[in-house]
Amino acid sequence: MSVSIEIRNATKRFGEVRVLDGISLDVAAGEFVALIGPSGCGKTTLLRAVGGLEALDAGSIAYRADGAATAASAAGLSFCFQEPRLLPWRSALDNVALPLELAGVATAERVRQAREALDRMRVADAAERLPHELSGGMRMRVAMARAIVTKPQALLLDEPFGALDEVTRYELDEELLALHRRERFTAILVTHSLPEAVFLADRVEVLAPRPARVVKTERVALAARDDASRTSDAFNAHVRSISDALHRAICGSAA
Amino acid sequence: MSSRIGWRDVLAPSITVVALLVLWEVAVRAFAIPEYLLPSPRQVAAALWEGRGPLALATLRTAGATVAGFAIAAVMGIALGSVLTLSRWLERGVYPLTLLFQMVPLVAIAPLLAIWLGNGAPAVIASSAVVAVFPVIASTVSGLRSADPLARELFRLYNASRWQRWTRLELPAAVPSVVTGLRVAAGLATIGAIVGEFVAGFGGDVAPLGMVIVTNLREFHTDTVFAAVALAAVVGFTIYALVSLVSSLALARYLPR
Amino acid sequence: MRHLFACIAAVALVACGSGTPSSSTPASAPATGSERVRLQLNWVPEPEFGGIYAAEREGFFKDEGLEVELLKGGPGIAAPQLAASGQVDFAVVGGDQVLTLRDAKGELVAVFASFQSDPMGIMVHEASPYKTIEELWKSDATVACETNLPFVAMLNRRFGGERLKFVAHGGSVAQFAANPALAQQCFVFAEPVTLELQKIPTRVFTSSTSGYDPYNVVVAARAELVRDKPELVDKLARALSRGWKSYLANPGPTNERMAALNPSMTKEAMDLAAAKQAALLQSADTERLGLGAMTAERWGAIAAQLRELGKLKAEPDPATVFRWTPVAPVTDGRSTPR
Repeated sequence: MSVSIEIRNATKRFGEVRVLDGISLDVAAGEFVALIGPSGCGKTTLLRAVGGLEALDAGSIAYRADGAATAASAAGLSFCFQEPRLLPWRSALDNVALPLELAGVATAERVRQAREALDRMRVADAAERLPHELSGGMRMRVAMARAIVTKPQALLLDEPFGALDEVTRYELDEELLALHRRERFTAILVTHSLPEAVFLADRVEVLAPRPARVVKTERVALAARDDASRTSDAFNAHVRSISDALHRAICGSAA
Repeated sequence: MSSRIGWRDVLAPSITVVALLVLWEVAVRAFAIPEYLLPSPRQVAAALWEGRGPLALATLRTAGATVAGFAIAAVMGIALGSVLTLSRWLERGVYPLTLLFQMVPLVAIAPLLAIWLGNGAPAVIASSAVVAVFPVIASTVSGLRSADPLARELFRLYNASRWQRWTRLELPAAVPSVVTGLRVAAGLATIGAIVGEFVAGFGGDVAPLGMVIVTNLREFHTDTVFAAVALAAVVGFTIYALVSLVSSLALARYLPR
Repeated sequence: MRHLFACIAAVALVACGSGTPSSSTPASAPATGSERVRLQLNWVPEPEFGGIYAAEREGFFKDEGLEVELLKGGPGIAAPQLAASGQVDFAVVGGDQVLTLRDAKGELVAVFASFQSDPMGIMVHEASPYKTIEELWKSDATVACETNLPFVAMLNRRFGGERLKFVAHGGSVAQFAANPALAQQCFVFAEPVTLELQKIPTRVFTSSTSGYDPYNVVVAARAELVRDKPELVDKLARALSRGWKSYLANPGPTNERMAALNPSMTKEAMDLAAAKQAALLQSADTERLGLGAMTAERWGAIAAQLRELGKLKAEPDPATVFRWTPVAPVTDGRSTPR
């Protein structure tokens, strides 16, 4: 059903700068992993490498579906970016249907699936509207619908809600959590928000910059994940623990 | 930008036009400006009325050449602009040349067109198309280039083919820019046709507006010249308005609010 | 060509509404003893202005106490309008323009008629089947000319011309050279000479063969100036008369100077042109009254023809459209006629 990802000794340079230098990371099938770290620590580069948008200089990324190795293109990966990246001349429905259209799915079928995806993101009533007629939160929901319309086995999220206001962000966090519970895809989330990481992820990897390396792995154990749990002691303990690690990572790299 | 035109959009410029005409008439009378320098609006109107038959025919001829020139420029411009963006090499090698050609003064090449294509419609239409095509090429190239790089990445992610990227991303993204280019081309096509007529137009009973202007100027019939100039402006404006109307429909999906 | 561009310039002039007449009288105020005068040519320096440049070269203007600034013409000069509106003191114009400008409320007065016979004409290639203007005008040939030129109207009146196809006179000799079937308007001593030197022989039918034969390369000034400063006008006319006399006798040095000012025509072509045009500069009138002379009879006849052709509505007294004070015949090139 979902895919596992093994990153081995991933290395990437941009000119003189070693962004990734032999980083390794495993994500189990259906697991939700958050990558957190200071700006420029390479977490986005790592995510893009996993999604095939960035070629590694050295190292490997392996995908495994139901125990069998598979190519990145066949692994059922889907991206969700910070910007919705909707085509302004297409209605919400046509935007969501785009990946299917490009894959050659017949019109009737792709419209059906796109409507379903919009429905799952609870923006079905926005189907015929153009992106500029939608609020920021609704646009992000449409972008999410487009990301899940292909029924991905792994969802790669690059600060997807970073540009939204706090309230909308919480809403979408819950939407994403519910979605993950239902569909059990593998998810890697890059975020700057500690509470968001704790709220969503099974595991939070704290990265230190230049080159990127994992300085702490925090397994999140919460009895429940809902609005109330955001203020629970356990939740706050996780946030504090990650915060400390992050602080050490920044100071350590500065020293 | 509203696609609907309200009564205010018509009334305001109408008042301006009437005010300018009144000011013009008053100025001509107050300063006793002789006809050979500047005819009064009433004289122009009289010339327009007296010469209505030949002027109407001349206008139709000029309008025909302008529409043909504009159509050729639109089709060729979009096609050439698209071809140029097909390869980096073509774009680097040829696009700067098209910008260079744009700087060539039409007055200088129009006589050559008359030599190459002979007198009459072919040279006039070519003159119109030659000036009008460059803004269309330029706007097509910049429009095709203007597609959001983030959206391009999205298409890459979905393994879109070159054709899919062109039809579903680059071409739609280019529409606003191409439309702007076409509007500019509408005005230039008129100028091109008139200049073409200066050097290649047929005279006599079949004279188009450009010839009407030239022949009447020599005899200091400035009132008829102004009438012909006004009609040429009407031709240009009508084409511009039609392009704007069509484009506002095409742009309805692009313009926020 | 000159008319086309002059026309375009006139549009610009008109569009700019540049100055009301006589409101901006330029530099004719006396300065340091000599009087400054601006003379606008309607084309680039060519043998048609030979006498004017000769007068400058030989100091004939200075002899009259005039400091004349010759303003080169060319594409974009509307000489009649510039003179009529007072932006220049004198301008070279077509003879018919002195009259037709009156219909548009512009008053020019001719003060010197360089060409006694119109150098305008229609040229065809030598291989053309049309041996006479009548044959050409009764054919279905294509003619590049300004369709409402008075002499074209005269040809139409005499020979019909219904089957001719008139096209814009783009002015370039290239168009004519490239098309062996084309007939084109010309100055008989300009385009045909240039073509001859390019080994393209032509046959020329002059305007005078049409029966319409006005003065041309006429120096004119606004009526106000001629009324207020008749002695200035006479001084200029005297100097021009001497200039043309000198140019007729020996055009070489002046051609050299003009060729330097106008790279588009060689001195060789100018020498040829000067020889060809000589006859058109002289008439029985000039024998009697000096080079550049005009008579009321002739102006009256020109006006009558223009009216007959529908080119003129005004009926000015012929005596008011020109000023000519007989110039004593020059016996010796250097003597100053007073």
